[in-house]
Amino acid sequence: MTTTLDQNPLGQKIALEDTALHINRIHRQYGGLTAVDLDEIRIPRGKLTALIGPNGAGKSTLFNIVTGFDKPDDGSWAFEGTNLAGKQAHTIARLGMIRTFQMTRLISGQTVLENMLLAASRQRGDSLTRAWWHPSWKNEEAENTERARELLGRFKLADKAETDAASLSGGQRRLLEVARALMARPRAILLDEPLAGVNPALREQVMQHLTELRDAGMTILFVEHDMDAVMGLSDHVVCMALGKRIAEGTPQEVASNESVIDAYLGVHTSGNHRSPMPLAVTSRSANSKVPTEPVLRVSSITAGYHPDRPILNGLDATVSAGEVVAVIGANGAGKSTLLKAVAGLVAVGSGDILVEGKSIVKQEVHLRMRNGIGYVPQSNNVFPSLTVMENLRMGGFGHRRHDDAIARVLDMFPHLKELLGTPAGSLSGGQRQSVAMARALVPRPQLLLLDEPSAGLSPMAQSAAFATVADVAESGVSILIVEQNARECLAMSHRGYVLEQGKVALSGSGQSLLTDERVIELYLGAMKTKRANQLMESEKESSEHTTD
Amino acid sequence: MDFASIISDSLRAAISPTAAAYALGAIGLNLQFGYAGLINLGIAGSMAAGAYGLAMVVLSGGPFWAGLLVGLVCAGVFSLLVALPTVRLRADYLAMTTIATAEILRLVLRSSWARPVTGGVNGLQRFADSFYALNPFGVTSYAIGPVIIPGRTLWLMLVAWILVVIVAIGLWAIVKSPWGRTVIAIREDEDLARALGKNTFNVKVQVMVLGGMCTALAGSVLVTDQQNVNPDSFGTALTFVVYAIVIMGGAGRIVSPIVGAVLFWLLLALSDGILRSLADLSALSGGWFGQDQVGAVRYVLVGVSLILVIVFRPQGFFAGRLPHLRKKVTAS
Repeated sequence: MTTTLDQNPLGQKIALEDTALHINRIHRQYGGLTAVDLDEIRIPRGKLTALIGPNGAGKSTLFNIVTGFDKPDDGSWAFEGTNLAGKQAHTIARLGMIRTFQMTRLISGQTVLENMLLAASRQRGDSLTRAWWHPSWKNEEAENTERARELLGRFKLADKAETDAASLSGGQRRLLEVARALMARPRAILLDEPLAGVNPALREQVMQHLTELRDAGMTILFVEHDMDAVMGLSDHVVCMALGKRIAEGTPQEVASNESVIDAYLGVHTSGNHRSPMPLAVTSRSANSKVPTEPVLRVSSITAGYHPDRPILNGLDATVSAGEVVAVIGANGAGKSTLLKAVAGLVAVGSGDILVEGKSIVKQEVHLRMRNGIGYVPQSNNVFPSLTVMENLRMGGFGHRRHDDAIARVLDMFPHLKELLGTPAGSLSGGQRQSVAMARALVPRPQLLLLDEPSAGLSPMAQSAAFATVADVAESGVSILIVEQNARECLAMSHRGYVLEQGKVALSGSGQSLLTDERVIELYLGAMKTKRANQLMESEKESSEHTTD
Repeated sequence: MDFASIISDSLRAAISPTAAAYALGAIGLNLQFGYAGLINLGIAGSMAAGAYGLAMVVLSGGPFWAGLLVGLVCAGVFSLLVALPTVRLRADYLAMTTIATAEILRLVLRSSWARPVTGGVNGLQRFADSFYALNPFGVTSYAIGPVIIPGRTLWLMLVAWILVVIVAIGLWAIVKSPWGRTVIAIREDEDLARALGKNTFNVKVQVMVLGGMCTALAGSVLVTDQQNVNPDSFGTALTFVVYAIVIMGGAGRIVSPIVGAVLFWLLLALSDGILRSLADLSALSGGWFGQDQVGAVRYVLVGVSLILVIVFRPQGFFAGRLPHLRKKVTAS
């Protein structure tokens, strides 16, 4: 029974009888971190529902819990009236709720067709007692093959049916994932970032398919970071932040919701309780003796995890001595990849990275660290079973007189002094960030790379983290910082780069970017206008912005 | 020792009942390790279960075929008991726990309080007489090409290789089925299989039991050949030889364990013959390399060649590329 055209906007309440997936309450804690803490959410039947939220909001964790891949500490949720709590992943899939994964998954070494056939539900040949007797499943296999070919045709993969699935491009993999999910004859599909890594042409195609499926009565819940897609595609939007639902409603309602914008860009008020133009900025830029060569110069690098699919596409950036440079942009823009390329954790395809004029592209990671680069990864950045002191000592590994260095760093992080004997794994998120940052500072780097030091922290802890970053900057270390919390980060940075699709889309002083309307658009897409569509298509336009 | 006799000895080893037994074991392991990706280091345990099942039933008065059947059931139950708690574990823990359970079984079999049933450290002997009584070839020797084989051995050889063919065909049929597709999916990406509604736990347990039963046949053939079952012939070394065969042949294909077993015994006998003539030669020139070193050096060579195969031809000697190795090729 498809929903009739309800004049009631989907907005606040979805009637119980129209609810496909009904979450009553889900709570999931990892150590001291609350990953998901939800009250009631209703996902409407036969609609496209988007689940959005900044990094660390708990979207993927929620997906994993709902589909049986993770166990909540407490919770109850139901799909089409069947209670799913405690059910195993394959049982949930058999009930007609099929999920996809953020990283596309396929069986390489098998053909695209075989990948499709794997998904066919309730196959007779799946049972060992019939498997050995070919005639018992022959007819069913033929029917499934026919259906698989028909689906592949619909997703423009028909000519790939006999090729190794591993040879598909990123976009084709996404198409195969959706086609494969449909092979299981689901009643609902849960897609984790169905558009990530898909080029604009295929992107349109995927979106088209999703709309068609919705029109055919399929319930679709998807996580997506591409806000244009979310706004254009979805009937209903749920926004999460820090594990909680913060807004729900039509795309327009959610887009204009202040708390959603705050969740993405950081809290508005933050600019007030801290001196707007940070500490040394003006003074430093005034009395700095214009260094001949910046500490870091990144010149038109391409880099990524797969040679054919670079994430950075000719990116340029510099960091001068004593400067704090912010790198912001939507998810998937290449912010973390930029830091990893500088740290040496991602292979650089072309272009050059210079530290104080010397190329480091060919250097091993540990040599880069020894030669003055400090890197704080976004997550898993402490050794959980080691104490805080031991973590700091790890930072001084291989350096003589590191006890002095640790003492010096502890002066910068006085609150760590009481925690020296505590295992880092039992610390809160904010304390862990302090430990990670302190450890990176022990070998006295000239350049510190910070990957989202405020991610997943409460507003209080976020402010503390930024205060620490400002202190570190004042001690003379150059900082390249990637942040989700753009407002607070820009407020304390000398300069900022806004990345989009692996390139610098905008750059300018921290203060100027802070007030730039286009920054919000690059983050949240064209919420009110449809301008970002054009933005996305023409890269010339974005390069115009660069010469701002 | 002349060259011709080295060759004929090697060929005899390659088609011997022992080679057939190892082929059966390798087929079972190939299902678990090659297809499902389950690193079961307890193969020797299920082989022992099959062998002891056979010997104990026959010696307590049962017919030979019932012994074979009981051996199969014993190995199935043993594998089930091993699989239920361990199959959920990560690959490395699965390997450790299976190696331990196989050792537990071996130590129980050789313990003094089990002696009345299992013969303890001495094992059990002369339980295959009723099998050899059916021998249609008599006691005369037969020449197969350059190889001379006594009729008794020929009888077992025939039965063993027929078993190999039947088991291989049966396994070929099921790995080509949707069930087999799920097994390969479990090896490549278990979470994906679960997300598509496959009960991967059940399938993995089935794989363990089915593979265990194949190795039970291997154990039965092995001890029928020797008319002797001894707990210490089912140590971990046996498991590793079967692994060597699967890896040399190329994991994840139906014929490769058979090719691997034939090749293994061919090369082992060949190197044995060559080393022994070498030892004879050295005896003339001062004896720096004695006959007593031959056995050890043989297995050193096996180890070295296994390393070479893994490094230079990880897909095995005669197999096509393994699916999950192909992934790396396309990525680079």
